[in-house]
Amino acid sequence: MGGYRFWSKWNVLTIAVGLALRFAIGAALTYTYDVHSWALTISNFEAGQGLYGVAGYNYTPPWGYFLGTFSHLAELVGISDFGTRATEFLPVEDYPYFLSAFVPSLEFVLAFKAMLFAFDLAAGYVLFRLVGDRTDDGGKASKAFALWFLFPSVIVVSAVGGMFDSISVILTMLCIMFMFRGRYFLAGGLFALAVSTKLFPAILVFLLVAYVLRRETDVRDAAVNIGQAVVGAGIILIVVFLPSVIQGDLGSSLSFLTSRASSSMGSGLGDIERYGTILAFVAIAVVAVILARGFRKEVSGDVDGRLLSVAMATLAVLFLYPPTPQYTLLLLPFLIYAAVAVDRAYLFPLVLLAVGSTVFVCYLNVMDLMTLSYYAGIPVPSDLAELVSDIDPNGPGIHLYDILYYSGALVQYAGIVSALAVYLKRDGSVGRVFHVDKSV
Amino acid sequence: MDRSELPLVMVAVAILAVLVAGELIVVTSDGSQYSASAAFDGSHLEYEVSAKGSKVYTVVVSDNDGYGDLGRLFIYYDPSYEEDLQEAVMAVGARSLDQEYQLKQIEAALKYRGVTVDGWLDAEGLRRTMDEGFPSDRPDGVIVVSGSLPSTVYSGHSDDKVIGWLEEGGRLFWAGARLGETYSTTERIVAVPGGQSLFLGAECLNPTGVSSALSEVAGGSKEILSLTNNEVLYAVNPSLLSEGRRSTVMGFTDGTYCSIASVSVGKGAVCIYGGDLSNNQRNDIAQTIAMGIVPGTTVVAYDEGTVTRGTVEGSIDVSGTGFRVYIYLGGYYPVYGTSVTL
Repeated sequence: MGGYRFWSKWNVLTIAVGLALRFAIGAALTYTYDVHSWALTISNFEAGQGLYGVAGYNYTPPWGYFLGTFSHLAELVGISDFGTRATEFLPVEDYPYFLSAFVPSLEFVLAFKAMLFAFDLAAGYVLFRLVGDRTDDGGKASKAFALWFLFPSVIVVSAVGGMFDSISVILTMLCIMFMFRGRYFLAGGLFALAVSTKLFPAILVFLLVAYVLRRETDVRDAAVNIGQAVVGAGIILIVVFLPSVIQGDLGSSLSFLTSRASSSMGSGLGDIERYGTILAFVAIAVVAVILARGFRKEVSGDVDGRLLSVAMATLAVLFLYPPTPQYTLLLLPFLIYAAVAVDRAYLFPLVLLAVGSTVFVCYLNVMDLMTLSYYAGIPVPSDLAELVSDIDPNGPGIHLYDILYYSGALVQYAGIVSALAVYLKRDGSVGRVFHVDKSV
Repeated sequence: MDRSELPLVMVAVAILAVLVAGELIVVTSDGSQYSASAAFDGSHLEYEVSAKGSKVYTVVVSDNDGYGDLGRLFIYYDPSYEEDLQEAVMAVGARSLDQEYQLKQIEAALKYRGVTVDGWLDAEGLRRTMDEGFPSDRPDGVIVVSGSLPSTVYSGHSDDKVIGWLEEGGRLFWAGARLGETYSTTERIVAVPGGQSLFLGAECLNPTGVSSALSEVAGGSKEILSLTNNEVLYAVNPSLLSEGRRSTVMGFTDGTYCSIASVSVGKGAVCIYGGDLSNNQRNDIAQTIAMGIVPGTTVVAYDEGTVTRGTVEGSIDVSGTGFRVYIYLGGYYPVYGTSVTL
């Protein structure tokens, strides 16, 4: 470790402001559709049905296991009421959005989100360490930490959306940092856990293999290192999926492979979307292989820094297939690293992502007030119901929700494209040596 | 290990520890962390609720107007017979909610509410069961969510086996389409226009595309039983039932149709759940069967509270006999239920 430390006054201030924002926003706004499903998942396994015995949980097992630990802690502190089904808000279920009149209780929401905030913080810490280790500059590390922990879409994805993408970010970053240190067994295990938590890091597998091949001049050494990573990954996969195999739920536990990515922005175009999705991901995989091959063929330079750069580009290519906003969290640490340690030009896509993804998450605005309204009376439920019905999105014309949804998505997309544009302008030529620019 | 590596290793280990601890909790949770019981001394109902964690609970005391408890409970499923179901709308990533999956989940949901399914019947098995009558003084019940009864028990005539079975006391729990308007063979669905009258004495089932009910049925059943399904397609309009029919309605209403209605048929009953197959409908089927819904059901008292890492005792003042007591934990996120008739 260089001459920098995490518990500096700036980082403490960042943590204080970040947590205050998260708890304030998290208490006020909740996307009930997903948070309700986490409460349902917990009640299902508490009833002895595991994760997949009765419907409710549609992800791979790791997130369900995190919910297992959360449920235990929540009940230890006396959280007994997970929520209600609010008759006042039933009309929202007929709107053309994923909305639920199951309203999680305020106590459940705050406790649950506190766990997500802890993951946000841990991801920020890992990014701090990554930037610090790479630049040996505590100031840049703190900037990166602040950019992450105060990044609007990072805040609202956990505080409003109740989504757990930060876990995948932590695991992916840790994997790469342990690879830098030659800890391939650990890196393999963490990568497997990252991929089995959310599929998207899988796109980096070609690049990570290329990294090992590039670092080791001896093919046998490279094979041994890859073998260690595979063993680590295998052990984690056994730990994660063994209960599903034993209980015959393996099919259910893997259903996200075909559904999560294909739903993406949910255009509703049926087969065109379905087959188009498959073709798009095949094309993305081909580009990922090309990028990894280019990386492998580079003959000199800062291998670790180049890995981070190409990883950023690979993820940006992945998200050219339009993602929902929480997915872009995986791209952010790489982009933040690039903006802080490589080139300030990367700040532009960050700004676009900050605006676009945040609007994209919060496009339902007043409808996200249901928990606060039902449990704290702010506003009273009948007033909120009236407000919601006044702006009935089933009515004719263009609605605020649609404007926010599509404008947020477009700006987010512009952020992804501009990140690639900056990359191509700066590092696009194959074989170009990547240098960490300490003057930034 | 490099000292600078330690914090990163600690983060990795902490995440793995949280994961594995949660995995153990998920895998070992079997519902045994909850229990409840009730006793009646003639004027007071004493109850006891226990939990190792923290949960809200509800104690529901109902008078079933002389209807006894169910004896055996069966599920009808025969994939060789046609079904009359609309495709259920599912969440992203969710397994398609077909008939078999819905039934398996109903069975599971009943199990953790303390109700055991005695078996699955195919079309022929259903005929045999209805033929043999009730082995005890308690009637049988059958859950059917195929949207169409098989031709082995129903063909659109008043002397069909299922009608006789209901007249003798059988209880049919029904969902998926309008009751009696079709029957199924191994090859097709056969329409029976007006067939619902054979069961209900009137044409009172929701035939329209209007499905969402946005109000609660009077009496508070939605809150007391944590009912969730607000779909009323195929549901009963109780105002069209003839005077001779007893009925109980629960859940949600659009002002005309009710999401749950138990209607008498002779000595037996049909309980009709509105809407296409759904998770909410499954919850309501399990919850109402566990609480013992019959056409005369009246909730005479209820109590609710919170139990945290221990046992809570309480009492409810009631008079009379033959009460059905249903205790469940978790509210709208149920994790345990048990019932007893006192």
